[in-house]
Amino acid sequence: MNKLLKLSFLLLCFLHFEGNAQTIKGVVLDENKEPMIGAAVRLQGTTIGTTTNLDGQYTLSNLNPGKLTLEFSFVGYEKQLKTVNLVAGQTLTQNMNMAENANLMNELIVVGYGVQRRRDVSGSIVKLDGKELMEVPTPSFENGLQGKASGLQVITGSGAAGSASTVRIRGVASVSAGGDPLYVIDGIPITQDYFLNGNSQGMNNNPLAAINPNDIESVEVLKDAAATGIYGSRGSNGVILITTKRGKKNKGLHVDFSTRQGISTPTARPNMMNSKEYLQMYEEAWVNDGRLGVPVLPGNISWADAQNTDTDWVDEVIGVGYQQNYDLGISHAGKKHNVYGGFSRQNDQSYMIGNSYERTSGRFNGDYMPTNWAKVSLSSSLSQGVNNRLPQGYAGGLGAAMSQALPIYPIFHQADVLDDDGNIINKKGDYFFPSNDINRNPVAARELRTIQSNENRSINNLSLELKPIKDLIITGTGSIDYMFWRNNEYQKKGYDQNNPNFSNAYRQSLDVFNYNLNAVANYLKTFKENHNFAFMAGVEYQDSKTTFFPNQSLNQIATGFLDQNSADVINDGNQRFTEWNFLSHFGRVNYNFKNKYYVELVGRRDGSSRFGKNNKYGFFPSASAAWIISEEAFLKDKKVVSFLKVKSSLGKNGNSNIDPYAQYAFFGQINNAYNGETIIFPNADRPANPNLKWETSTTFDAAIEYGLFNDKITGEMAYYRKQTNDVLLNVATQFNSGFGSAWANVGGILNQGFEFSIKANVIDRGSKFNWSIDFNIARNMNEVTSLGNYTEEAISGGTNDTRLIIGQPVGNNYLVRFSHVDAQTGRPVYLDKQGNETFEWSVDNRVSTGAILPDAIGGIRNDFRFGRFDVSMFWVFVLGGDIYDSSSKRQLGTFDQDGWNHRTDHFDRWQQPGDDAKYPILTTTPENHGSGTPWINTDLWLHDGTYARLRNLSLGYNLPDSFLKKVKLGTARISIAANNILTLTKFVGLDPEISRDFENATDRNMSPNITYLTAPQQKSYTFSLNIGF
Amino acid sequence: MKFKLYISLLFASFLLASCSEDFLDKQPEPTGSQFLADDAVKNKEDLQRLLISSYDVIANTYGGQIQNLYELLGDNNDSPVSQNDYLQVFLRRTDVFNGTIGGVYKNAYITIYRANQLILKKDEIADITEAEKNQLEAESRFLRAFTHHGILRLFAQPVGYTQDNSHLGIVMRMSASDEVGVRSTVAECIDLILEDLDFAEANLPDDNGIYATKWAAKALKAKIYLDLNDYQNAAQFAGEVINSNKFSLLDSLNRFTSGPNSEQIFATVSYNQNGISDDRGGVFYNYRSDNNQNPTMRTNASLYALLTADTNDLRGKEWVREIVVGGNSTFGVAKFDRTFMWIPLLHLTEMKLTRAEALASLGSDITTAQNDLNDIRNRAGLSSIIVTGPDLIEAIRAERRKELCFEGDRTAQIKRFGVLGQPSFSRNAPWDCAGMVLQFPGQENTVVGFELNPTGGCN
Repeated sequence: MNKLLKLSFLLLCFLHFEGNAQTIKGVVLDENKEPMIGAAVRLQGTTIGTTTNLDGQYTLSNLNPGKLTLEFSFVGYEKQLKTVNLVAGQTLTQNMNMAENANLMNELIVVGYGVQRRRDVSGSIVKLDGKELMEVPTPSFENGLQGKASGLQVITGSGAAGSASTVRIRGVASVSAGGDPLYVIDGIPITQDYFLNGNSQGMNNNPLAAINPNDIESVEVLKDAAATGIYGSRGSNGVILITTKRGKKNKGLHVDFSTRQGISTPTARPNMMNSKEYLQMYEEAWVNDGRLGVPVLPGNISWADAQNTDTDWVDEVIGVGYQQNYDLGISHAGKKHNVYGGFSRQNDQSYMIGNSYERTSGRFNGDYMPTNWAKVSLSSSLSQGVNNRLPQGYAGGLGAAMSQALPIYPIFHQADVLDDDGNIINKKGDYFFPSNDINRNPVAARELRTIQSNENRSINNLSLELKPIKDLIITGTGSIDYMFWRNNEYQKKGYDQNNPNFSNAYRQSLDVFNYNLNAVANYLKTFKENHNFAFMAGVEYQDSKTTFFPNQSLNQIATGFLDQNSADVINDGNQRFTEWNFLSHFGRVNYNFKNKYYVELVGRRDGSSRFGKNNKYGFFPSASAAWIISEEAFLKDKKVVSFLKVKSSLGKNGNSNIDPYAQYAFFGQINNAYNGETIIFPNADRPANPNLKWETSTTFDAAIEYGLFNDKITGEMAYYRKQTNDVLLNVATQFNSGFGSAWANVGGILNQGFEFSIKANVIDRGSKFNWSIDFNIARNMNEVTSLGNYTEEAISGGTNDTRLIIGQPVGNNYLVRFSHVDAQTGRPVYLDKQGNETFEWSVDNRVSTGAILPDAIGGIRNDFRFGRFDVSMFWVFVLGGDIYDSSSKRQLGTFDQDGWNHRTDHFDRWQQPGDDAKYPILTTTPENHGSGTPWINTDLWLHDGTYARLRNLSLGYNLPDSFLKKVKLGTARISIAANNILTLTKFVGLDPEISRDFENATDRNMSPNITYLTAPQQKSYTFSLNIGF
Repeated sequence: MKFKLYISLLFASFLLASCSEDFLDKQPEPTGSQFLADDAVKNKEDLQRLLISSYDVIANTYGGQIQNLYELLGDNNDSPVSQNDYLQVFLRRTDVFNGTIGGVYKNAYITIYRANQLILKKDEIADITEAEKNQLEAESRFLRAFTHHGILRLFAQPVGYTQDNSHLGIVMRMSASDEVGVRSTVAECIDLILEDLDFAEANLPDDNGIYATKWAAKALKAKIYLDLNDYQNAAQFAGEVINSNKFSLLDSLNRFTSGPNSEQIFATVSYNQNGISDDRGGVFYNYRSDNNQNPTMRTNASLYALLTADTNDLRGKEWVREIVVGGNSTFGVAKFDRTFMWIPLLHLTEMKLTRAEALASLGSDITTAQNDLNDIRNRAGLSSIIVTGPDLIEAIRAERRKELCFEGDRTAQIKRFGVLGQPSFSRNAPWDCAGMVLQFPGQENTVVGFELNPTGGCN
């Protein structure tokens, strides 16, 4: 025993002695031979290790002599092993060059308040490279996401420049609260209110249009509860995380410049009748009604004048659009810093004459690391969006050309118009105003009025990251998202029909000051080598204040957009503001065993001023687990399966995107009201609801991630089930309550579906020939599960006759069914509720006839590369779902006295007994179509919304290095592309990708696939040049 | 090392500390025109302002908005021009989407809600006497009864449609509550309306400026009792109003004056002084044919013939005119050819015609009935007639139709005659066909349990 003790002691002494003797040191460099800071160096199979310092140096001392294996690792870089033979007393120098890891599974994914390696993620997240958003010219960056991520639906609003898109992740789970995902840029949930300006001129404001797509490094789409849980009461409709560009680590100076030039036309041309056709049809209607004599035409036009006029209003309002884009990016990175500066300018003149969106933006992002335990980061952007607007839809422009601008109206008076006394009222060549309504002459309306929205926006973050002790990182971030928005309108003389000598200017202005402060602590700990923990805890405060400045006007004497300094400017009303805030505490624990079994727990507690006083705080937990099966012995190093992960999550999160004051009831006051007296009164808008709170989604998700044949084929399959309860409904209340509407947490909605994505390198012959396919498809099933005590009349999607019906999808088309045209009489035959045929159109016979939500959506992309050339073809598709062509009830309906033009497909109408026609007998009175009112909604106007669209077809050429060297460029690429050039669809209207203007969030959630004179998308041909050095 | 720790802790605690929970109360700032409802009514002045807001809505509803709907169901009017909602009413095919109907209906219940709020709030105010409270309540209840009654006549079959009036009436909102509104039977409706009027009659003052008096309550009662064919009460209350000598018939035919007049028992006012112009003539001006060749509202040939049958009848001369455009002739209305009209909602002419018919039907005090009739006839430029029995009743009814034309009275009379068992039609449609009652706005049907009206049946 004694001997043993002595021996041990000796051994220890020996070891101690020896330990001091052997040392390994060196420098770790990256591909650019720049030192790497913080790279891990470890003796394999031991806990002995260190990290490199600011100069990339490391030292391992007290080592045993012998054969040792050094392991060098750095996140995102290929792990390097080096076996050395260390002899006693030796100090060995072992440098190492690291290479970036091309393995997709090691790619860093931005998750809320942190990053994770792709292989470690147990939630459902799709990462998209910023470049992908830039491929297709789009009105706004979010539009570039279309078809790229399974389960993400993007509907482009219209072909108008700056148009907003409707974005939905995994169906629709909200009704009156905003259903769009939460957009977070570099950590701050940004202002994303589509109704800052309500619905103005048939258009909603697009709050995302001023964001420069070229600033975006990557976009992460967070879909399930595990991924979105960290956003608590705001995550249930998914989260879109946007990370802006920074200087690449240690990469020196880089300059990138690119430009794109293109032309655009509409994807489809309205088929409106010409003068002769219109008059013929009008006369037929007149005769059918048994009316005698020369038909009385709309707009006080005589039959003879009408015959001599034929204005093609569509031709008058559309032309060829021009798109141009310039982007410049400069980055520099060194040991202690990296910076990125960007400058971009984009001008999208749409095919609608006078309509454009111009964006000018600059960005500066930088990181500075004064020591190895502190880092300061700044991200700052400033952008300006100028939207020269044209009225859309019912408000005029192309919408007018498709409706109330009749071909029988001339643009200009063809002769002097005299009054009874012989005085000239209108000179030849003056604009002609049918029925004194300028909106019936869209050319005059365009020339005599200009409307321009300006948005100035600056999004900034400043953060300080500290490493006070090993493995602990504390980050404090302050962010500001400031938006100043202004709308100017100038009406020239002649615009105001009642006062033709007046010229007027109007202005609305508002700003949004949105700031966010958070502190997050991250702690990493590995126990007993295989038990890896990551802890995160944080606190966050966000506050957003919108100030509405008084509306301003200058009447009679305006000479252009309003000049603030004019003494005659009238301020209308007071400055007012709205404000909301959130206070949140959150945490996350990640655990994995041997990088094989993963568990993640997330919790967030949100308090908000938006919630009623009885429900100030909500808690949102989620849990997820993942198992990387391919790490198991039985799958390891197999030829076929290179990667296999199963994962599942369950959690709760919420949505609280509502009017910040929805919980409150108001009183109004009017001075000099009835009998000259002051009155106060309860505002009939809504009663107070102190119980108002977030809606809650409980989401279950199960998915498989796979990689086959050495990851030549990768992809993911997922099933999800999201039950949303306490759905926020802004219900129409019984009028007898004294109120028109009320906010309540009453509804239930179920979304469940499957997602599938696959990415395959079909042929990979290196630089000779390469073909890859990227395909995704998502099927979502949506169902309203509860409406409380409310009926299908309680919630309607604006003016669009969409409803919520239990057992049916959100946004149900609730319509009277049209059966056929009676061959004998030509009258339309409808079906009553029981399905019996009837000539009477009655709202009592409305039934569920369709739904706006598609059955499936997706995208498929083929990339070919041969040598320096590449060809890419990108299709997006929508299967199922209905489109309600709302304006066709007038374009194909009765010939009204107030005059809409009709479409040429109306020729297929009943004319005589025995006719088998698509459309009924022409008439001027609704009674002949069985109704007491014209413009009736039936499912005759409901169409299958299935389509496939060739969104992008491009050919690129990368200039050869030999040439590049001569002109001292790093890279250069030219490409040509055609966008939206081909659409396969059975839809009889203009463009199957539609979302019209919306009245409010309810409308936006329930009626995206409704068209009402909506301008078709832009079809464009572009040329691009990208150079870098 | 310590330095780093301190900095980190300081930094973290700074961020944490800035997030106090008081921040979570972001209440909207009051503006001059809008403030939070919670403590909106603080004193007597606020109560008074709240009360006047109910009158304000009545003025918005009774500036022809509700009267036109009555008339379009009846037989005085021609098809309305370029107003699809009106056309629906005229065709007696109303549906839940008729926004014009919806507006009238909604406004009625806004009036009632405000009245109910006032009844509630008056007890929360300190500086107010019992008498003041009573008057506030009386005015509120008068306005509530007036409004309920106006809606009841449009949206339900008339009293007497069923023997015991067990058919469905309207939602009676007797307090400010968030309960689901369910329709009461007509019998219940009438009882509640009369209950309100009893209180109003007992607690309203004799004089109250332009606002409701006890005479207004009595006049409304007279009107309701005539609807009920309760001649005893109709004659009594109409008589009390007439005999109060507070009111007198105008010499001229025009009781839609731009200001007060001696016939008004209860009227809404237009205001045009001190630089404030507030014309509450509303959609009565849709009739105006003096400045418009194509008015939305017109009379039909049959009423035009009645009014102009006797060339002495001033109503034929002053209230209607022929419009000829392109050889086609239609009939315009001149009764409302002015601006800043005060709308007499309860007036002496109606009281006299009501008392006359009630007494004639009772067969008692025929002389008074005859005198009432002849007062009206004489003023219209017609000679007195002395008839009795059914002839007298017939004469009074004929006079009533002419005198109250376009004021929204006629349809109720057609229905009343029907209830009495007489053949009664409005433009060939029987008085009790479903379409003679308006459909409720769709919003009533947003909760389970509300019953809509049947539709159709009138063509």
